[in-house]
Amino acid sequence: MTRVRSAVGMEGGGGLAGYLDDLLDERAPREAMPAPEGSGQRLEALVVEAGGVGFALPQAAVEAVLPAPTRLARPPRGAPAWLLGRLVRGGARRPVADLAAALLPRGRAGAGPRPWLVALAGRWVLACDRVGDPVALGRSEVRWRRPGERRPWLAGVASAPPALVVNPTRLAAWLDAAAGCGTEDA
Amino acid sequence: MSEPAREVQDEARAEEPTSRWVTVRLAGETYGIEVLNVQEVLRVPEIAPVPGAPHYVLGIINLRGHVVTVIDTRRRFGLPPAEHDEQTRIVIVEVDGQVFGMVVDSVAEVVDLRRSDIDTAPAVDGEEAAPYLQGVAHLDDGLLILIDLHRVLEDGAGGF
Amino acid sequence: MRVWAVANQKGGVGKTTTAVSLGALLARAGCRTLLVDLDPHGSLTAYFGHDPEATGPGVHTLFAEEMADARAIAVPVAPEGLALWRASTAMATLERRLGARPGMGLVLRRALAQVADRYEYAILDCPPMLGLLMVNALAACDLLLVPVQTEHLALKGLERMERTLEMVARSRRAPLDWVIVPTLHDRRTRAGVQALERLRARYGTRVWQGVIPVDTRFREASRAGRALTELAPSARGSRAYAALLEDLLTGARARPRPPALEASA
Ligand SMILES: Nc1ncnc2c1ncn2[C@@H]1O[C@H](COP(=O)(O)OP(=O)(O)OP(=O)(O)O)[C@@H](O)[C@H]1O
Ligand SMILES: [Mg+2]
Repeated sequence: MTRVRSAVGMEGGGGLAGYLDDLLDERAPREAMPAPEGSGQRLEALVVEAGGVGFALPQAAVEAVLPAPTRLARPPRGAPAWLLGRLVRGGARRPVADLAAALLPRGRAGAGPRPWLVALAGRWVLACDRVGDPVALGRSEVRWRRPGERRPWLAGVASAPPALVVNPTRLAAWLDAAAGCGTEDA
Repeated sequence: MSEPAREVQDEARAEEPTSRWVTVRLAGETYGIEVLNVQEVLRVPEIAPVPGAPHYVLGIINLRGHVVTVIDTRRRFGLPPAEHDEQTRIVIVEVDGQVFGMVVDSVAEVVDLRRSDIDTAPAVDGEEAAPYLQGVAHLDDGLLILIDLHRVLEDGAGGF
Repeated sequence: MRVWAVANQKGGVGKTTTAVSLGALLARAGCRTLLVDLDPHGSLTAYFGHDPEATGPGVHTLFAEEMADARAIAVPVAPEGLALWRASTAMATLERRLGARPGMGLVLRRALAQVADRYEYAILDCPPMLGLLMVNALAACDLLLVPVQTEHLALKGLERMERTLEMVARSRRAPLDWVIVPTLHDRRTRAGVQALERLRARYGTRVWQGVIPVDTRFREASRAGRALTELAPSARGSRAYAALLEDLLTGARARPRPPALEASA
């Protein structure tokens, strides 16, 4: 078996010290990895449906899928309508967002019962109509886009299956901001 | 069946008490597991066998660091065995303080039932699964057999 | 949680074998232990019957997703108490895609911090080359094991490794404790005996007092997908790793053996 040696062609010498210093820089922000390259690269995603639209959630950011309970703990007063309430899970009260109502233009979302919940790693839980099978999205099947001001959570648009590819980190930040305060675990 | 589930956030319209069930398929029949007890639904991960466990215990899985016992629901209910496939799911439930997983052929949907929808003296007596059932509900497209989770682990599969 | 990395820029010196053996022994001793496969080649992953070509969650996830939940990527392997973070061939492209982005060397350390309450030990199996993945291991570990095959050219490669370690210690702003583990030792050959002597002469107390002998049963165990210490606890190789573990746990790794023991061994 042959193995390909890595491309760090600077063993010894000052180049290596700089390389190491950079890699081990504690203050560097954790940046998102660029979109996958090459046909071998695939993004494992769970495609869920809400308001008739498919959303591809990177599998790595999905903590759990569960049916929605009949009741959720009440959302705080003055919360936006898409904040359905809070789900008590593993001792924490986690905010539940109606995925379609939160992300789609007004009028597009429909008032579905959203019987399924997807808990993201972190805090947010997303309510949706249907949970599909995991898919591996290839580079050629996704039009990646730069983070925009209007929809920072949108990482790209997949064609097969048709779905909006969600950047979970940005989605969580966007929901946090849009929900305002009062959604913290209390 | 598709009587749509009632709105999750609807607290005002409390007429007759309802319960919510996730429907699953097992050997061609539709069974219901009460959502109240369901922690999550997942695809089948690696299952590590547990020597010496009851015959209907498939093994254990590592669920985000927690060890969870998984039972072969078909076997527990006396149904013929089947290979796992793309549709196979594990429903993780919590009952009486115990968390365990039930392998099902597939997970279908979520339905709300009024108390009057449920027939607690079901005509499933002859069945081997009967001890684990708490009733049936008649849906548009057939019978929904409601599982009594309290009995599924009786005689202590979780006790190790 | 204690984190041990197993690394050497030289290939085929017994890194993966060391990780498997120590992991299985720790688990047998009742310590919850996590094995981490950092080699895109995935030999540790394949050892336990997983496919490195598969795209399931694993080490790659940690680098690919900002929000990756490190608590969700372990799979259980045998014996009980042992868990694995799998490698995938996709990791081979990390270097090119992430280049030398600032801070990327700390991904693993942060991920391990998320599971620190779940395991008593984590053992990191490194690829045989210096790059992003090995740097991550060196940044995350409390102790580094450097398996060195006792053969003719062993010392040459070790010098290079030593320079790397000095620089990493400086960059990570914490000392890096490391110990040399002589492996694949054949005491019937002159070359083997001489190499071991030279190793001890040059590195003194850095060298573990025992040796891991050549034992053909390691290959057999690898084919069976089990640690040799599981398959044949009394095999020479198994006993050697048990002694290594004991010395690592008791901190007695480099003290010269009392003469009495030496004689009876
Ligand atoms: N003490 C030993 N006696 C006999 N064979 C051994 C011994 N240690 C390892 N081997 C065998 O040598 C080969 C290489 O070992 P191993 O995979 O552990 O090395 P490695 O350093 O991890 O290699 P790589 O650099 O390719 O990752 C394997 O076939 C293994 O079974
Ligand atoms: Mg190896």
